[in-house]
Amino acid sequence: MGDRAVVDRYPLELTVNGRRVRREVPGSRTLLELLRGDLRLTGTNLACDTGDCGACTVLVDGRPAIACLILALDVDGAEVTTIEGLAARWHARSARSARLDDRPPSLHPVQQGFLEEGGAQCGFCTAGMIMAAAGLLEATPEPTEAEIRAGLEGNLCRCTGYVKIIHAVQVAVNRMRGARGAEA
Amino acid sequence: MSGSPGPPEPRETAGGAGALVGTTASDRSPRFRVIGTRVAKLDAVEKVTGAVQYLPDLELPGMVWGKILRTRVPHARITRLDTTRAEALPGVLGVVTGRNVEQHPFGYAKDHLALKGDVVRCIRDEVAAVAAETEEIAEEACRLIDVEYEELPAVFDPEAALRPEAPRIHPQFPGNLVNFTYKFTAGDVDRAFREADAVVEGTYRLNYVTTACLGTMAAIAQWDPRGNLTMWSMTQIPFLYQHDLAEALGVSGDRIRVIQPPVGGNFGRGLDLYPIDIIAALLARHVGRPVKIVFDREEEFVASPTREPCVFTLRTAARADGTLLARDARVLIDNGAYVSWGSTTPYVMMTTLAGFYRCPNIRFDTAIVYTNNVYSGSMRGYGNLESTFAVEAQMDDLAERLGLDRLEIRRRNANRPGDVTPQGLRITSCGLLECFDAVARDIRRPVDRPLRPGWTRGIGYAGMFHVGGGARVYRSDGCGAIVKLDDFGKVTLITGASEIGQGSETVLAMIVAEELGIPFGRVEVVNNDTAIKPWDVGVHASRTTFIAGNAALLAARDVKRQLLVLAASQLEEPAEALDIEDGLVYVTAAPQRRLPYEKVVRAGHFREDGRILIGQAFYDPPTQMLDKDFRGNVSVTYGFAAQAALVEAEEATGKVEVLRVASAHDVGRALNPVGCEGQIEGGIHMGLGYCLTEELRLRDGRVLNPGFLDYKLLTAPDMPEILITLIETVDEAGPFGAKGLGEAGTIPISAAVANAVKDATGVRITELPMTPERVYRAIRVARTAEAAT
Amino acid sequence: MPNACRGDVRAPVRPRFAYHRPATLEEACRLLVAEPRAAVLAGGTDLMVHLRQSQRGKRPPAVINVKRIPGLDRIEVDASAIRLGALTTLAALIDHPIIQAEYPVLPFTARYMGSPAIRHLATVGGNLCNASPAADLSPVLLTLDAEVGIVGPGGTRRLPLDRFFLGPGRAALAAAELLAWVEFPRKHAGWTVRYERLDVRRAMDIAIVGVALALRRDGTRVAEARLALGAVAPTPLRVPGAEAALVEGGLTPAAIHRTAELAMAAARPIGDVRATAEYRREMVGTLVRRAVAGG
Repeated sequence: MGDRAVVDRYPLELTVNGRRVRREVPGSRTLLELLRGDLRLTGTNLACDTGDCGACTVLVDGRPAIACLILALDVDGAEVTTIEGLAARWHARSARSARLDDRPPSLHPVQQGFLEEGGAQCGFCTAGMIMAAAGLLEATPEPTEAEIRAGLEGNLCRCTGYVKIIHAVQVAVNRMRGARGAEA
Repeated sequence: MSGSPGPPEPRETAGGAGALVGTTASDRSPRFRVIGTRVAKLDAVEKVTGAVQYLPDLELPGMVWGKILRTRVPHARITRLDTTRAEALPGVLGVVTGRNVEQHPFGYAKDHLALKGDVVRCIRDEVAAVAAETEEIAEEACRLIDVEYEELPAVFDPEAALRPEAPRIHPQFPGNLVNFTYKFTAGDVDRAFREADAVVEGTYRLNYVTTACLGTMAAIAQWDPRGNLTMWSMTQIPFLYQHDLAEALGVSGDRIRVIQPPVGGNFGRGLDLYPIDIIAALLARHVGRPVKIVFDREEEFVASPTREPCVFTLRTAARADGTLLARDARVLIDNGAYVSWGSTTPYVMMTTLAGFYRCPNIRFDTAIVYTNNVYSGSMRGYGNLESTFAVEAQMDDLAERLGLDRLEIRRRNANRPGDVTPQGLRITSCGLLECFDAVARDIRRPVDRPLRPGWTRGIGYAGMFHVGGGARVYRSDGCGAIVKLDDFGKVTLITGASEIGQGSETVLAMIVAEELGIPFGRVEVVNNDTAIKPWDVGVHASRTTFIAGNAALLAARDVKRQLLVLAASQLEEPAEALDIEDGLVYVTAAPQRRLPYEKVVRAGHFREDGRILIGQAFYDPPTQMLDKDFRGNVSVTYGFAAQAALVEAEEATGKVEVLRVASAHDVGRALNPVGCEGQIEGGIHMGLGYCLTEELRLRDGRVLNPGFLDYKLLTAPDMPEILITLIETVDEAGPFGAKGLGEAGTIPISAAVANAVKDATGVRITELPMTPERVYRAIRVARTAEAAT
Repeated sequence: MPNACRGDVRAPVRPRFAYHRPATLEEACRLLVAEPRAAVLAGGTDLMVHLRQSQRGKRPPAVINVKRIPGLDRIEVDASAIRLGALTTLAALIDHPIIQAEYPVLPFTARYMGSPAIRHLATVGGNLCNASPAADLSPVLLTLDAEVGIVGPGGTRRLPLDRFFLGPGRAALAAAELLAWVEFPRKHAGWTVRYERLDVRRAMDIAIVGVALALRRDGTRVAEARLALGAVAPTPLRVPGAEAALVEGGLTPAAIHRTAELAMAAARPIGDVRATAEYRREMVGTLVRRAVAGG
């Protein structure tokens, strides 16, 4: 096999869910493979591997990113957040949110919205959908319904018809507005 | 039975995406604490946090990866099959082929072997499988397997396959006609057509679509040293699968245990045994290690079962006042290379043809034909989409021919409580009229979007009728349930019914909580291991809420009775004087005397003559399988629905946009409103895809679009506003009055949209999906014909 | 006839390649000279799919990630021109205030492409170099008289965009050359520039037909016109004959009809899983009429 002679390991260092990660990976390793395979973070799902469905959406430096389309080495030095780290990221960034409820904080408002509104059925698209929505709301805190749909246009769902997903995001928008108000 | 509906209770919704317009309950008097409330799905927390472990996420010690090598050509004899180079690759543990393992025919007609050693008959066909230490090595090894094919003449069209000179797909059979008869007649069809005031006819072409689940098919197989097999599987029918898999492997059924991890969708995909399961087991047995096989997306599109493509020819006869007199239908189904459940869908096509709307004279026949195309399984709706598409097109055509209102002709012929269809299906509760009323009202709400130049708007209606209380597809239609209480107050429902993402375990937990009088949060459900759970025939035909629900209800009632007997001695009252509410066992005449039920259970464990509290039930409804003349009452009760679609069509391009769907469902009672809405909304998405954009394109037996780019699921911006009404007829046979719902949202929507496009353009589209090009072409042909006259 | 197959060549196997992340344009060019079959990684939204699906023999031995090179991701605006660095993401293009104000057709068109997450990755340069016949931005940039800047071992050269596309997947880049920017004159005040697209879904879809039109009107006359078609030929296509018809005839029904006919005749569509050639050709006419009527 001629191409086995290729130099195949490169150093990689990045932050995943707030933790520094150091690995040596082949050039071809995707971010999705790194997350699911090397780091055993199986919350991000593999559904198509060609960027057509959005199920593997994560946040890279706070912006939604399609993990199967990104080489792991290409996010060297970046900050990656997966579904497993979303709640912690939210709480780290909104210092006062812990005081809004008397419940211990455990979920990002989008996750909470999904729980309350029935946004997940089989759940396979859910992690990517939540990350895409969370990324949307970081950039656009008060989206219209059309903007929510557009923000999620790259995330396919086969179970819900998107109705309760959109409701979940709208509930999150309201809750996050309240949190900002409390912080002000 | 259904009384007159009360006023709807509008629910405030967060946005215009969709709304529950109302739930009309005719029986308000029972005050439910759990039933009818909006609860989170039992597994929602795991799903929103990423903690849920789907089958591809699972790892077992020593597990290896399996990969399947498929044929390169659809129809060929394998002339050379050499696995030497593959087996020599470092990291490969073994290779199985049709020539080196024991396997037995499987499938509905036993015409199928998991690994093909001799002849391949469709592009899916599995020629070999490799087990290796990594997925990458397994893929590499597949490329090192040397296969030579001698191509055989192939046939890809069912009509061509019926000709005497056509190549034979299975030479052991006399021809390509599958030996299934779905022939039903009632009354005198020919006379009815002669005497009719109006006859309409049409031919409808329904093409391949696929479930396109976000989670691809996968399986893990593990043998233990005693020769017992554990399968982690996506099956929807674990007990039947146990039996069928055992046969395919040549072992006895008691050697197989089936575990069902959470799945990324199913929609009927898991309703048969498929080569992936058998191959995983064969590989695992061959290499002595657990084997995991996961389809990649392209493989999923090629190899997972589709909905059956068919050509549906129908004539309908009616009187001048719109009363239906007769239907005469013939359905040509492309069976593909092997018989799977897609070719049994005429069971349901027939029940709609013969039973939806009152129609006394019926003729129904099918031709199911082997070809070298891919084969079809059960997919949500199971033949009813196709049948309803034809029936509802002709209701509109008749209305037009006779100068009648399209809703009026439907109301005139609507099924009513007490009807018995020509097949002998007994309609008990029936809210079809209320469903039509609701959608007629909601579809006409103001539209705030102005009509664009070049676009026209139209409204179309369609209804549906489907089993709602079991289906008696198999000899048993039963489900077992066990309810166990522990002294922490946890209630465990162990149910035979499987959760496939649709929320069945949530509604079953609600039923148990309601019946027992305990908080919903105290109920857990165990449903995923054949070694533990009682028997159930499987998740299909929208039967789970009804059948598993009744089983859970009866088991809960059983354990409640035992609990009250136990409490009687502690509260020093007879059991009949006690009840439970909010988790407290209390004396009905003196409610301040009460005990938490956990205390009662604990006392039961720690007494001298201690006992455990377990209730159990097996519910198999009082229904009949269809006899050889296709007569019998297959379900305890039937579900009804109506949908209306508001569409806009652009003649210059053929584009069709759906602005709004009104969807009203006779659900008996909405036990889990969030779940009901979710199933309807998702069903509409799937049905609209079938109608507008989804088609698995095959040419010469090969799949042309095995990816999400060109197999087009509707995206979030594509979806219309959805307005849902849940009609509660409170069926006396269902658990708390409920009936089945899982498929209903999918079934009539294509017909409603086609009728709306007809309303908007004057042109009837008879082939799905109605892509812009198809619609454009149909309109051009019609305009040219109009101009010529 | 026996059909011998050495295994299933369609099965994807993880590609193996050397990975480089040059810090300068010079370094990138040196690497390309050393590895002429290397692939250039910009946003990766096309390359990553190609890498996994490509045949064994066509696999690149190396991938050169150019995103560390400074200066390639800037949008530079001066009085006479707007220059989009090759690494300008579609998201950055959409968000740029001057582009939004003066060339809203560009954000409009970019919003058809992919999804928000994909638009944060995908670059203008990567999209142009991918040279898909159905690309959306390409016909629009053609109507803006765009030129590209190409750097290579021999220095920098300019090329009109309509000479950049050689065929499906083939851009006019010689060995070791990189696309550095695409630029168009900032002269379109008073022009109408539109993009019309026919597709099936509202998102995540590829154009069945794309029509870009730029018009400068002078009262009822058309002083200048640029018309470009996408998805109906091996490359995006200017149609000078149709442009001339508009200039000669103005916006009269007869001239519009003639323009549409000329555009339809110039189209060389194929039939594929998305549409037949006949439908594409007819829709060229429809979309041209629509583009003109809107302008």
